[in-house]
Order: sequence, then structure tokens, then C-alpha cells
Amino acid sequence: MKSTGSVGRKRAKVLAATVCLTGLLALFVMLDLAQAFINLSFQDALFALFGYGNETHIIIVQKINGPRVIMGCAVGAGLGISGAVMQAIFRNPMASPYILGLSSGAAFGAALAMSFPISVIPLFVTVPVFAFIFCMVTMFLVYSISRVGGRVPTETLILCGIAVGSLFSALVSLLTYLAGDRMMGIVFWTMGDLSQNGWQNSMIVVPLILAGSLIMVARGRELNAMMLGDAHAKDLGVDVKKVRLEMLISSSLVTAAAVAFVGVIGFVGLVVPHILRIILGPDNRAILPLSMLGGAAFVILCDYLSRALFADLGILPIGILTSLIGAPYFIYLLRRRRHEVGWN
Amino acid sequence: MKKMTRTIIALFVIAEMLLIPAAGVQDTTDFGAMDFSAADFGAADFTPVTVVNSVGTAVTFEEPAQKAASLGISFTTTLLALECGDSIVLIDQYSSDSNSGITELASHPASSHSYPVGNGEQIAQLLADGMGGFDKTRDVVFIYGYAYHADAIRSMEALGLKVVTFYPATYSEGVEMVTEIGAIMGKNSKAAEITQEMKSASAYYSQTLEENGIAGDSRVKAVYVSYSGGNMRIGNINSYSVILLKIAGGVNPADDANMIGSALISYGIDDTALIQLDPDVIFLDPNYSGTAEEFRAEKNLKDSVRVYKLSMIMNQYGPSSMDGIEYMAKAMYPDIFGYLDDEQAADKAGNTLLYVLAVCAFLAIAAIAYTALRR
Repeated sequence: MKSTGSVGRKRAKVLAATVCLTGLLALFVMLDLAQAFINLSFQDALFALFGYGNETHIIIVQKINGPRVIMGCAVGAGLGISGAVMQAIFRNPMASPYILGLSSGAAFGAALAMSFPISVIPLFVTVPVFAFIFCMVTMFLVYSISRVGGRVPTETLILCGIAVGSLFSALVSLLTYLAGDRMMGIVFWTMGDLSQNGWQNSMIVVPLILAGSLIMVARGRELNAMMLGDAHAKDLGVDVKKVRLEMLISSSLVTAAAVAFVGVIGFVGLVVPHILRIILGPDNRAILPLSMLGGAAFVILCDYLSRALFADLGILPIGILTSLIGAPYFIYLLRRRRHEVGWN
Repeated sequence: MKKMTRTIIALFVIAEMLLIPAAGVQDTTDFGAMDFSAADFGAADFTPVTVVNSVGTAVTFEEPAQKAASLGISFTTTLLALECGDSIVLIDQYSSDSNSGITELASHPASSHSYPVGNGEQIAQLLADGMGGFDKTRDVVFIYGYAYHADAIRSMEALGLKVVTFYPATYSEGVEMVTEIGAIMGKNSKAAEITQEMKSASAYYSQTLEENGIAGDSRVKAVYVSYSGGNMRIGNINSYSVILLKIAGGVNPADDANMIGSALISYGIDDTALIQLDPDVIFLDPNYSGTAEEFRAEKNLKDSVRVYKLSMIMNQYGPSSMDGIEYMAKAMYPDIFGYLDDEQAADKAGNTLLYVLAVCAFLAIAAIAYTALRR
């Protein structure tokens, strides 16, 4: 009876979290849709969303804020679930796309494209393509280097990720130093930016992130087993090697798709799954989809704040805010409820 | 009588002999037709000049500078307008004809000596070594007085170069810059001529608009979008381009404190701002990598907004700013100041198409009528 009650309470918690996160996401989406140089009312924003109201409002909501919100949701969801999956497969609370160097690899690709533009191909094409390529290259590089005798020890993988990430970060710094007039562009990109995205970019990013995320969500049960250790997982019939590779490729694809178009947005993949684990426990079947919802809500909130808080200066790069909000909150939670983060 | 006639002729000849040289000198002074060297001309048009540059060094010119290093498009265009093109021995990378579009530099010797201003030490060394006949005790280096040029300036001064800086904040200061460069180069008369033209241009557009009854709200709302290192900004109240925009008769809606709460000094571009400020015309920074049409598509602008990309020399201090003002005025008020060349071409192309269509229609009607009559 006690066990059934516990399961019931967990389900209720998950349901409550789902409802809360959905509500928050809806609220943040409306705030972000209505946010403009001269703010729109919720009513005007809602009407404009369906094509009613004056031309200015319709352009703002449908052509400027709409794609921005969709991209923010997709990127937040992608980074959230990627972080959750990496933490699960490496059984390490520090694992995230950033720790494995994927973001640094993507940043290097983007910086390379900006520093040496190809005259016949516009920057808005070369930057995401290069970022995507280098993100994938980093993943394979890290995975290959850390592979020892057919095994990929977690510690080696993480250390290798840190080393390769540092190498790419140094190369980005070098390119930034050499870039001259283009330096600001590179710096800005490395701080994250949702503003340069239209529907076309969303149509590329959203399917990629959705496909990768679905693959990861479908492996929730196997990831639960792997969090107990490789030996336990094998005993439970999980093909650890295959699932780990599948998850690595999926999370890299999702991270690359997210980072390639909006730049580096830090802390989403680290903070959101952790907060959810503190509240809901370690069950990946719930954590993975909720990390998507939470990541989306967090990014959209940060995007809104980046536009609203410093309105006199224009738009603050979103990556600054995700780190400014994420890091202190993360430290606070760790200090307060260290024993409940789900890794003991 | 004969004697008297001879005396008159003799007096006339003497008078002629006395008057002709005087007339010759006067002609030369007025029109500069005589083949004086720059030094000869400069010496006649020169008074010693002392200026204090942005790092606080007093620089004195006891004789006109014969050679100049021009580390800024504004200085290059000014030197060319002052007919000192032959004096330029070195230019900055932005002045090179491939970047600036200054055609006079295409075959100029200085074109093969264009450097980033950040290479202060290299530039200083080349000039100190007498590159292109540069004499560091007599000649001049022109550079913008930005704070981040301080190191380059100090590198040059360390090798004994005379560095003169300018950082005009207003159109009048841009005019003064021309006067000072003219004074240093010994081209006071030419500088006076150009500055007079610049002052007249400044007054011409506002007067013409007034005469056409355009004032207050009927003036065109125009926004200047600056672009640096991938970042766009609007507002730019203190930028030289916005100053030119206003001289050309435009109103910068970002100045409108009533509409937006406070004037935008410099605002990192939010695409919604471009829509809500509702400008009639947008002028784009020449550094923007795309075209005006690409910008329009990228920023989801309304169809009614006209977008123009300025050329590199249009928003520079000095004489070329007159081209910028003219371009902006034509873009904003084509009915008053005339259409821009490319718009005229488009208009002509449109007219040609109309004529072709009319001829085709006429031929078709004639063919139908002919066929009907044959039946």
C-alpha cells in the first residue's frame, strides 16, 4: 500500500509539474510575443497572432516575435533534454553539452565562418553550417580519443571533453583577437542571440530538435537502468554501448541544431534537469520530457527579460542572462538541498 | 602733331610694359594656372600653424607639409578635394579604392601602401624611413582622434612624426577640419573655397524645403542604421550620419522623446523598433554586408519603407559629406531635389517596358483589324 501511495504521489507530482511548466511556458510565451520597442497589450498580441489588428502589430507578432519564440522554445527544449541525457549516461551531475566541449566546437565553427567569410555564400548560411559541422566533429573527436580498448570510460570522456572544449575555446579567442572589425560579431554570437531568426531557420531547427528529442525520450527506461551503473544496466538487458552511442549522437545533433542558429546559450542543460531532479527525483521517463518543457520556459523567460530589463540599451544577449540567472540559482539549490539532487 | 602722337604711343607702350606683368601675376594668383610646385604655391598660401592633437601633443608646422599619410577616408577625400592627391604617400585600409570606391586612388602610388591603423608601429617605421619622400620634420600624419588610436599615435610620435588628429562631432567641426588641413598643407585658398561650398550646401536644403512648404510633420522620417562588427544600432543621435540626415531635411524619429519616452542615444537594434518608429526612409551603414533589399527582407519592413545603403564616402567628415547630404535629400525628397541615378534608371527601364507594351498592343490591334478587314 505504501509503495502504491508513493507511486501515486510521484505521478501527482509529475502531473503538477507538467501543468505548472505548461502554464509558465504559456505565460512567458505571451509576454515575449507582446514584448516590443513599445510594448503591445496581451489582447493586441493575441489578436495579432491570429491576423487581426493593425499592420504593425501583425508584423511584430507574426514575423518578428513569433519565429523568435518558436526558436527559443525549440532551443530551450533541445538544450534541456540534451543536458538531462548527458547527465544520465555519464552518471555525472556536471555533464552537459558545454562540459563535453560541444558548444565550444560549435562556437569555433561559427567564429571560423565569420572570420573568413566565403564571398559567394552569405554569413547566415555559413555560420550555422560551420557551427553544426564543428559540433559533430567535436563529439566524434571526444568520443574517439576517450575510447580505450572498445570501452569509453565516463571519467575519460568528460576529461577529454574538457580538454577539447578548452582547445576550441582558445582557438575562438585567437580568431576573436585576429578578427579586427568582425570581433564584435563573434563575441555577440558566443553570448547567444535569438533575434536573427526567421521562420526559415525555425523550420530547419524545430524538426531536428524534435526528432532527436523523441529518440532520447523513448530511451527513458534504459537511461534509468544506466544510472545504476553499466553492470546493473547490462544485467537488466540494456545494450549499454549501443544506447550510449545513440544518446550521444542524438544529444549532439540536438545541441548542434540549437547552437548553430542562436549561438552559445549556457546553463540551460545543466540547471533545468537538476531543478527537476530535485523536485521530482531521478526518473528519466519524467525528467526528459519535462526538461524540454522547463528548458523552453527558461529560455523564453530569459529572452523576455533580456529585452525588457535593459530596454534603453536594446537587446541584451540572452546567454548572459541564462548564466546570470542560472548560476546563482543553481548554487542556491545545491547548498540548500544537496542531498536530494538524485545522484546519491 | 606727329611728335605728340609719338609721345602718346610711347607712353602707351610704357604703360603696357608696366601693366602686362602685373596682370600676369594677378591671373596666376586667381586661377593657379602657372606651373608652381606644391612648395611654391604652399609658401605663398601659408602661415605657420600649431595644433594640439588628441594625446595632448602640440604640433607646429613652420612650412607647409609636402607629404601626408592619410589614415582615414575623411582625410583622403579632403586631401583630394584640396588638390593634394600627389602629396599622399600612405593611406589606411578603408581609404583604398577597393574599400572606399574613391576612383582617384585606383592608380595612385599610395594604393599599394594601405595599412590597418592598428599597425601603428609599422606605419611609423615606414614614414620615419622616408617612404615616398616623407620628411618627418616637415610632413604630416592625419588620423582620427579616437581613444583606441592612442597607442598608434604614440608609436608615431615616438619616432618623431607630426601627428594631427581630428574627431569632429558636428558638421561645423567637419568644415573646420577642412580649413585646418588646408592650412597645414598650404592650401588656404582652396580650403576656403570648399568650406564656403559646404556651408552653402548646409543652408541650401533647409531653405529649399521651406520654399516648398515642407516643415514640421510634413518632413520625411528617416532612420540611420549603423552597423559595426555584426551589430546594428539605431538612434545614433550623435553620429555624423544622423547630422547629415537632418541637414538633408530628414527627421530622426528616434529623437522623438514624446513618442518613446526618451530620445535614443544609441540603441542596439530590436527589429520591432524599426517597425514601430515607422520611418519613411532608412539609410544603411555602408559597412552592412548585404544589400538594401536584403535588409528589407531580413527586417520584415513594411512595403512603404524605402531603404538606401550609403556609400563609404557619403558619411565622412569633409567635402564628401556634401555628396552624402545630396544623396539623402534626393532619396527623401525626389520631387524637389531630383531622383537618384539608379531610381532614374529604374524609372527609365519602367518607361521603356511601357513603350514596348504599348507598341505590342498597337501591333496586336492592327493585326486583328487587318485580319478582320481581309475577311
